[in-house]
Amino acid sequence: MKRQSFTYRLSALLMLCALVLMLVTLARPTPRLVGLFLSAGLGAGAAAVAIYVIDVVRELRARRLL
Amino acid sequence: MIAAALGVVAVLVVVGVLVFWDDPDTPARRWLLLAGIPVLPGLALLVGASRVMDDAKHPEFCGSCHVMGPFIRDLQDPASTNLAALHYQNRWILRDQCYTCHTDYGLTGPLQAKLDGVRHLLHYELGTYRLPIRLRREYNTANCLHCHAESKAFLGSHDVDPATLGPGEPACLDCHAPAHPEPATRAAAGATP
Repeated sequence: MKRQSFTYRLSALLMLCALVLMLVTLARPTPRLVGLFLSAGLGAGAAAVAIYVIDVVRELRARRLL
Repeated sequence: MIAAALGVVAVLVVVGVLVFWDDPDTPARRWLLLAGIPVLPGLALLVGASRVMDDAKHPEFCGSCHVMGPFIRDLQDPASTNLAALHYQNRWILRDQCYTCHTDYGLTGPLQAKLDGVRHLLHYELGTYRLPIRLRREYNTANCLHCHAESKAFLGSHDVDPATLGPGEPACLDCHAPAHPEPATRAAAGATP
């Protein structure tokens, strides 16, 4: 449960970073920020979703629901 | 505006998830996790990315790299008779003027434009671009003809079949150049050529 708590939290933090980067880019769309958001920002968001989904699947399997 | 508002809401929800992290593991908390990590923020990111890519089509965005300064200043110079300036100032193209002329039509055009944009950004950030900057490949005449080929002005003044214009053939810019200030003029304007 502790490991799962860590991965969910990591997922939330990654998503938070991606969202903050998105808001900064929307406020000031410079080429550097746009490049950073569309690469690192969306990458962090995708990683956050992937971590969340993987952890949900693991948890369901551990509970023998999947 | 919608993208920013959605982004702010998503940030608040994610912060809420982190703040109420240690709450008991209830179904309500599970739904909060589902909404607060993948669903709402994911949607916000998609909307935000779409908005950011739209913003990146504006001439102001193109002009935010200093090598593009002379091009943008020429667009806005009332004395300029360059082709791009005429299109911009007469609003023959209403918005996203750089993007409209420099993006091929068809299925792969926008994708190619985005890949070109990434390459431009990398060259700019790494300082690996060469001056004077120039088009990498011959300008695609089909981009002009997309608007002009069937226009009354074009048909009335050109005794040529638009299908015969294009790569390796007489092109619009053979007669209607320059589209932008020539390198020497860019340097004279006190900016990077």
